[in-house]
Amino acid sequence: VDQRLLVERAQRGDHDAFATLAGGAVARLDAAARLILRDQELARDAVQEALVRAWRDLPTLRDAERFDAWLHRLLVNACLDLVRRRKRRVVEVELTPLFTPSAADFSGGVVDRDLLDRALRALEPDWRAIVVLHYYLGMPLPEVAADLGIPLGTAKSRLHRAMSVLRSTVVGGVPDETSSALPEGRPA
Amino acid sequence: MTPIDRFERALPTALTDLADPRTPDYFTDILGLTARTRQRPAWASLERWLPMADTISRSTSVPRLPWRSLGVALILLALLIALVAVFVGSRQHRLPEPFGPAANGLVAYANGGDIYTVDPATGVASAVVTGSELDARPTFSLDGSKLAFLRQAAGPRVDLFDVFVAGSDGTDARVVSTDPVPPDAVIMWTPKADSLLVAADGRLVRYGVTDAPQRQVIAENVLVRSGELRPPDAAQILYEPDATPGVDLWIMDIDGSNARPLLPASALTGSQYDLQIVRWSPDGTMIAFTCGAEAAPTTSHVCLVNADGSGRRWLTDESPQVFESDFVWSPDSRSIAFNRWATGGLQAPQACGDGGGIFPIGVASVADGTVRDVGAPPVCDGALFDWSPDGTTILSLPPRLFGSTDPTAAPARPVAIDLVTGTSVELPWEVTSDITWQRVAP
Repeated sequence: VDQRLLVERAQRGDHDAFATLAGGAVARLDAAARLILRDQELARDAVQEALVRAWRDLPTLRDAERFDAWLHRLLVNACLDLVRRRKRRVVEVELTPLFTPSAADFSGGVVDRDLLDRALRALEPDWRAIVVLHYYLGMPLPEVAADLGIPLGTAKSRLHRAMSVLRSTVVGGVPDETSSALPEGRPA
Repeated sequence: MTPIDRFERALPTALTDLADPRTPDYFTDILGLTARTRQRPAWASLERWLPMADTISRSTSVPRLPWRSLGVALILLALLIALVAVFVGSRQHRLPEPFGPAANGLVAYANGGDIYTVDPATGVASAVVTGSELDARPTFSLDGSKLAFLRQAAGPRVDLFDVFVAGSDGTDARVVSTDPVPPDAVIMWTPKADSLLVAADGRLVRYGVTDAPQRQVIAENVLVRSGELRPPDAAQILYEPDATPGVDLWIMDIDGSNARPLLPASALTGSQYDLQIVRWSPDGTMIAFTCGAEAAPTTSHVCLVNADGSGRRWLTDESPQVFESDFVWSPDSRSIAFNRWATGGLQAPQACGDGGGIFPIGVASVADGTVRDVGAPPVCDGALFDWSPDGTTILSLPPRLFGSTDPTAAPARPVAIDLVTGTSVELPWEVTSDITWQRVAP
């Protein structure tokens, strides 16, 4: 069934149409939320918040063709809101296994899961969100910047330095010397 | 192909492998929840600003009023309106100077696709530009008399906007741009509020705002940042060649002529932080800009240079390991406020996660470079802030609201920092975008 028709039916209150749309997206949303939040339960909360809000606000969506992008934006906002609320409540200490960096072999296009997991955890959630939106959900950077409400230059800068952190951890001692994972200034 | 290239190419697959996407077992629960949730009607946003119930109840109660009382009330109301009009009219003739200290007026912001103003003293907010269109990024003119803002342009692309101008109360809104601009277009008012300079996609354009739409392309292939129009007469503007941003700083007359380098590449360090932000002092005698340091190439500092390009220096003598950015001049040109982080190599984001690494906003004396902390440390990503026109207060916001045109952005309460006492207090009103502070005559 054409997604646009489903969106229009759901906008008119057809919950079955919404269930079909959500069913087609929920695995992707859940995976993206787990990548951004690195926490199963928080990811569940974020997906729930995003889908409930999507159903509630769907009649106000002006362009049915933008449903997927809109849903992604709801999800990433839900993820970052959860992180902010969680930071206010408690500072959690996460125990990670002892680890010795080693040079990874990408000749077969394979990245060690544990190394990647550790590298992602080293990033702030805002930065993880950019990596996940761009490299996992395949969104162009201008769209990522618009969704996160930041200038394109800032998105580029954050992605560049997030990738530097990921490389330095996963590749093992091959950081990009022209960058760092420092908070950057925003272009005026 | 280097290992780095291979890593980037392998990343999408690696992320999919790590996430292991599958339909989660809680999906049925969510559908149960949505089934019990009522949808917002499409016109819900309009309903907020059209008090239908009040209008209806008022009209039905009118016949019950005694006609004599009604007549007296109407006469008093007319007198009151006339007095207010005379008072407002007299005030409108008193406009502040476009640069330098002024009295504090309203604060404008965008929320849910509409433009609001709020009295920062009372917290009383008013919607001044409403409707079904997506409006964002309000900017008061330097004399406080007008308001420019972006409105999502018609057409299939949601990331293009028209530039609108209205009175400071949102009335008489009209489009002034002839070509749509991206959401991060730089918009600057000229001192007399008779035109707007719009920089986007490598082009600097002037739009007249007083008569019929006028468009003048000033320069092509230039990168112009906000704060680069020279006070007090806006006769010159700074820019960088669009092909090489952050490498060298140029200046030209406002008609596009007499272009010449002001800070050549040899005067900078070649750092990625060079020229990320460039701002004239309000008195037009100095330029502040971000710069790298040769001794610590991964940090940013606030640098100063005289208007003629001479006397380049660091603003402060803080450690090279302190990252300075996001600076704002005080209205009297005597101080500069900025964000500061302690740099910590590649582990900085982790330190930032629990609030570490960020310092309170610093206020530095331009005369001697001494720095003092003001307010509580902002969130780990720093703060977005603006100086009040009277110079007594800084309003601080989360940086995620910088340039935001997202009508669904989570709201945030501004933090007011008293620059006399250094104390900060969260204000009882919320914004969902960057703010602009109206300058009014003292």
